[in-house]
Amino acid sequence: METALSVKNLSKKYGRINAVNDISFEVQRGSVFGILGPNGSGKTTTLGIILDIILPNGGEYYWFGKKSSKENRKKIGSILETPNFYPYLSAVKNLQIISEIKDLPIENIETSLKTVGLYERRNSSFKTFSLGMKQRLAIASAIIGNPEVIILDEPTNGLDPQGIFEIRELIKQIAAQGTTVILASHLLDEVQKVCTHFAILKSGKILFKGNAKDLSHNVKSFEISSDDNNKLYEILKNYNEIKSISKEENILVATCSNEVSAVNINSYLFSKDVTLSHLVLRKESLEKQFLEILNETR
Amino acid sequence: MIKLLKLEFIKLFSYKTFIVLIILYCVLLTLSLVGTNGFLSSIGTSINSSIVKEAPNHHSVNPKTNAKLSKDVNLTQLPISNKFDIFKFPDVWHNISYIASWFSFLLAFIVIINISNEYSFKTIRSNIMNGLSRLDFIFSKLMFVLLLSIASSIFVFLLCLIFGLISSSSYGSIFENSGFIFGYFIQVITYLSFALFIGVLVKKSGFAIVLLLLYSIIIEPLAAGLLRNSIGHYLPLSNLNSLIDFPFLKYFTISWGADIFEFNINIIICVFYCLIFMGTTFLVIKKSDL
Repeated sequence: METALSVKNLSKKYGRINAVNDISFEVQRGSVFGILGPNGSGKTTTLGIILDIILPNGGEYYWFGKKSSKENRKKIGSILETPNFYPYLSAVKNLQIISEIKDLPIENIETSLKTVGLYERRNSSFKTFSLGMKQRLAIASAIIGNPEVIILDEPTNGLDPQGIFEIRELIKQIAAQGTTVILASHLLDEVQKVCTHFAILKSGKILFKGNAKDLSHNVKSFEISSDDNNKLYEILKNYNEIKSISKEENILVATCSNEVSAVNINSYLFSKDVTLSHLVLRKESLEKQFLEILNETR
Repeated sequence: MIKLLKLEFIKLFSYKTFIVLIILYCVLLTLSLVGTNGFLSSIGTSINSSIVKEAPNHHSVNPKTNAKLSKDVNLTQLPISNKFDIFKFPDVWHNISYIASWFSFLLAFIVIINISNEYSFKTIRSNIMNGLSRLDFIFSKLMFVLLLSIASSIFVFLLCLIFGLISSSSYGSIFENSGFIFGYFIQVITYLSFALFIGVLVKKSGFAIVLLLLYSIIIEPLAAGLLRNSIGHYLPLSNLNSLIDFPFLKYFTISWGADIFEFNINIIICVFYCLIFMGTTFLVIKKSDL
């Protein structure tokens, strides 16, 4: 696969703080790349550098195999942190500025405003918009003219559940067209739902990078219960394959390595004279693993 | 280049503060011209009448030639033109350029607000993210400074022409001394580049405006005073002001400074300052996080 973006040993210091510390990663064309990390982990700084608004202290990055240039940036649609527009200008005028910069024909404005559902308010000035509408305009500005790469920093910030759902669908739709998407978020759920690849960032360092599929297959957990959960708990504790057990209301949740199957657990417990009333493989959420990865380095 | 101008046009044309400041500039400048003329002729008339009482034999003479003739004559003995009119050709070019130069601060506010808005709305980021180079961005602001300077010079030119035509009876030497408009242009573009530089340095409009005024009114005059005339004269704003001398003394006493606009070293220094301000503005934007 072709590489859309390659980042090599990028570093950025603010005083003594290493906001970005020797980061390297690659984003393949057509993939949806998630950058996950808690607040202040260096997500926005990294995106700011690859968009040429923050100057790195070290390292390099290449778009489509070339050094940074304005021509490259014209092919990239982006949102960085908060929506940044001229408050006194209407939605249309604000997008006019962007399409003028990107050398796009004016017809694109209407299409992108309709996509995010702001067409009715196209002539209202930006300052009259609610936070959700501002965010939608930001997304409209990112998707205008079908760019080759879309960079979204916290795209569902400030949106209502309906809006969040719509934007996620939109991201999937955009990705399905073959557009490369780079998505930064502290919401794991978001990344899990849309990303094919991701990297986890903490204190400016990459803790983990890989395939979204790979990670969720690393460990798995089972929901288990029987008539006597206390006894079940004691017995499970002695089972070597189990990494951890937690109690949740009427069930136990046992986390184990990938090789363990429901059959293994069931036959083990059966040999200990325990019959189960409930045994279900739970799809381990990325969130839990994310927190585990973050905790490991603490 | 046309693209960059178009961008500035979209940004500013619907911006109320910009339009209000432009109108304010035009109205205040025009009013102050009429006001200054009225004020000076009332002083002139009162001085004149006192002189006429003391020396009734004198007839009014052209103040300029008169001044040259009577350099060592006591001020009170000077006959002064009956009719004060700063709008008469060819002096109108000098007079209005001088008054207009006082109003450059309003234009400087516009420049500061224009650049600091880009920082406070963070639109400088979105401009560059979407595909302007940093050079493009600063070039669009420099072009705005250039256009604003040209527009205000044209406005001052038209004011001179209109007031001159209304007040003068003879039109033989209409464009004599119109070189002052060129001086005004150099002055205003340098001052606006200075404002742009401060705006980029400080990034906040309120603070930048205060700093500009502090520098213009206190810091530089103080520094110039301390340095005496030798170097102090060549500090940016002192140098700027020396392009167009105070023109009204000639109505009261001997000729003061040049009444005709001459190409001199100050113009070259001014252009030099202008380029320095523009260059450092570019460097600041080139070398900093946005």
